[in-house]
Amino acid sequence: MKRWRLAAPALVLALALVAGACGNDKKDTAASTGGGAKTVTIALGGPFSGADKATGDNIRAGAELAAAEINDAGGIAGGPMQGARIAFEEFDDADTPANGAANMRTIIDDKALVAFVGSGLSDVSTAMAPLASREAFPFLSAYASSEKILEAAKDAKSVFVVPPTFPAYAFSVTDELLKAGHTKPAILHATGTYGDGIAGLVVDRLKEKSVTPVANESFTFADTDFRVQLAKIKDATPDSLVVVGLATIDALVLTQADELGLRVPFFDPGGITNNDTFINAAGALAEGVVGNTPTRDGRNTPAATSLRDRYKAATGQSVIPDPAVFAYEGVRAVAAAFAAGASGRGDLVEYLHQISIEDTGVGPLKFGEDGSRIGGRLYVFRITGGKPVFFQGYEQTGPKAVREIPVDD
Amino acid sequence: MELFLTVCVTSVTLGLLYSLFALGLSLVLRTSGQLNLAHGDSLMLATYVGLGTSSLSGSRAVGIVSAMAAAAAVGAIAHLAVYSPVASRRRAGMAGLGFLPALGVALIVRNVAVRADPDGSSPFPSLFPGGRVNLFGDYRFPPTGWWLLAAGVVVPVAVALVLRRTTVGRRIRAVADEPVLARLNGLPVTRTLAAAYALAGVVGGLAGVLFASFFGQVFVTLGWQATLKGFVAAVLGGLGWVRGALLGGLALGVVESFVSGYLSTRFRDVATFALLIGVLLLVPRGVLAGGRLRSV
Repeated sequence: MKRWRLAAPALVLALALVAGACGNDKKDTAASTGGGAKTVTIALGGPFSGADKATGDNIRAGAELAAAEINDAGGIAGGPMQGARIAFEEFDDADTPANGAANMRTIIDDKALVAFVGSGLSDVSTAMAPLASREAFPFLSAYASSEKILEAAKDAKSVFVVPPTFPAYAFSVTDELLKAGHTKPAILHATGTYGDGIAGLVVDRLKEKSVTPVANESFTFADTDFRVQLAKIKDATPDSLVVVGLATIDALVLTQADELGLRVPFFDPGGITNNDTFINAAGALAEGVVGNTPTRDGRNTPAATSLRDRYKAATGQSVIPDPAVFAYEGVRAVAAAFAAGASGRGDLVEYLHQISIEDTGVGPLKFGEDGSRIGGRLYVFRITGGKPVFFQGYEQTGPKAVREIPVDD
Repeated sequence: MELFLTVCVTSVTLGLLYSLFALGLSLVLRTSGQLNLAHGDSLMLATYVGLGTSSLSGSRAVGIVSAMAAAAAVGAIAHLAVYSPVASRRRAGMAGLGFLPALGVALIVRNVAVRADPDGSSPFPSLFPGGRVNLFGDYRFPPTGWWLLAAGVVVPVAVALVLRRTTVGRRIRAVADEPVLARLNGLPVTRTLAAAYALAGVVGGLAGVLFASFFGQVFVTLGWQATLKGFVAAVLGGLGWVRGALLGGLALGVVESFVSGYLSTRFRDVATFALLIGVLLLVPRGVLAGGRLRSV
């Protein structure tokens, strides 16, 4: 009896180990060439749970749209992996850098995964990128867009940022602020990689034009009351206000600024005001807000129209959220690299540096030496009548350079 | 001068919200000895309930009352279904782990809220009537601000009266003071504790709709913030019944607002938690409790 008591847990443990081993075998086989059908399995990351779950859902929707498009057309279009189907394995980071870093370790150790596409928050991508870089693992940041992600990974060149990077966001709106003749801007920004990063770039751009902000205040994402910061800003008598926050936070800032009698033109360089969440929450106060976005709804190239139609058919939504767009492009980039000749994760980075997609629906997609997107576009708008009215386009021409382009380019 | 006055007003409004968060936490902590980590998330979920019911019924009063009732129900049910059974099965060596069931309930409640509001926030119309009033300069004080000031005075007095003048209130205090003696004297300890959780929920539900009405939005993240700020306020106030929560919340509001206004927002949390650690080291009963920890 005593022996059986000892043997029972050992038996359970052994069965568990056998089951685990069987599970791993199955996964590896399916990821490569199981059953004769080749599969390219991409690790898809993002906040699939928690308060920012909507971003994760959008990342998933965009990635699945790209996979459906590629698989329906017969899989990878050329190269050694021709005909391979795209599949995903999801890794939830809940917008937490520690989770992202832990996920990255697991992803690298799983030889069935060929690349990573994802992350909603720059802090998360910045935590993951050094590990991906060290292991030369293909990493495509699909929504997080701080230039610090690339700085953390500049040696191995296996890290790519699909959206335009922070300097493009900051410079496009700052240039419009200056063109409007404002000389006494104030800044109110979130702390962290995103808020401090973009606010710092706004200050740098202003200084290039010999303009110094009259006030520079900060807050955390947990804050809801900004009256004290706004009172300090009002004391400095600014002629404009640059806010780097999130959609709901920017709406609160506008409301509280109005309560305090601080009524100056409002600029958003973070690309977060072109959505219903902000416009509904801010109401009439949203009128006149100047912001930027990489996805102009009215763009009418064949690829743009096709992308919008397919996204609407898949999700029922007529406007494609930014995380969905860039996850879509990230997956398209991986598929294009395989079609160009990549055979696996070992040589994928080399081919990712060579791809050039003329128009993904958002614009041309190719990467520079440093992994940033060459020619990433941002469109500047002013909210008028409850809708964004676009009036100026910008194109990223280097890590810290933009140029103006026509809004209907 | 306008900055100083704005900082003062913010100190009071934020402070009173923290007081109301702390009051619910203090009630449960004093009665059961447990830190109810689910308090904030319960009041957050209840605020969403208030939003839904007020929208469906078209009545602000229904929204407020249903939020208070929902938070009370979550608190009482969690105690009867989870905390009490877990406590009765607790074994030696598990001391100090009493907060885990509440943490589990908090995470469950938060996930329910995330499912209900995937965006993480929703616009919240003011459930309290009134118009904006010019306080000073251009500052137009929102109507909920006045209701918040009124609640900051009335609610602590009402809770104190319930604890002193009603049977259930006296039972709560008896269980808090001597739980074993209370049980030996035939008091229904489990039900009394459930009543304490429900009373804390009523206060929490009201705090939730006041918060959301004041800021015009409700957030899924409100839950953790309410628990954290409420706990800090309760500790600063000395973990008393009512007065400690009220004064602790106001103290926290003053520290946060003045550090933000005259130093930097970046030092706000540093100052707050340095103060908290200082209080725990030097005056563990709380700066404001003095020697009368048990006074109502």
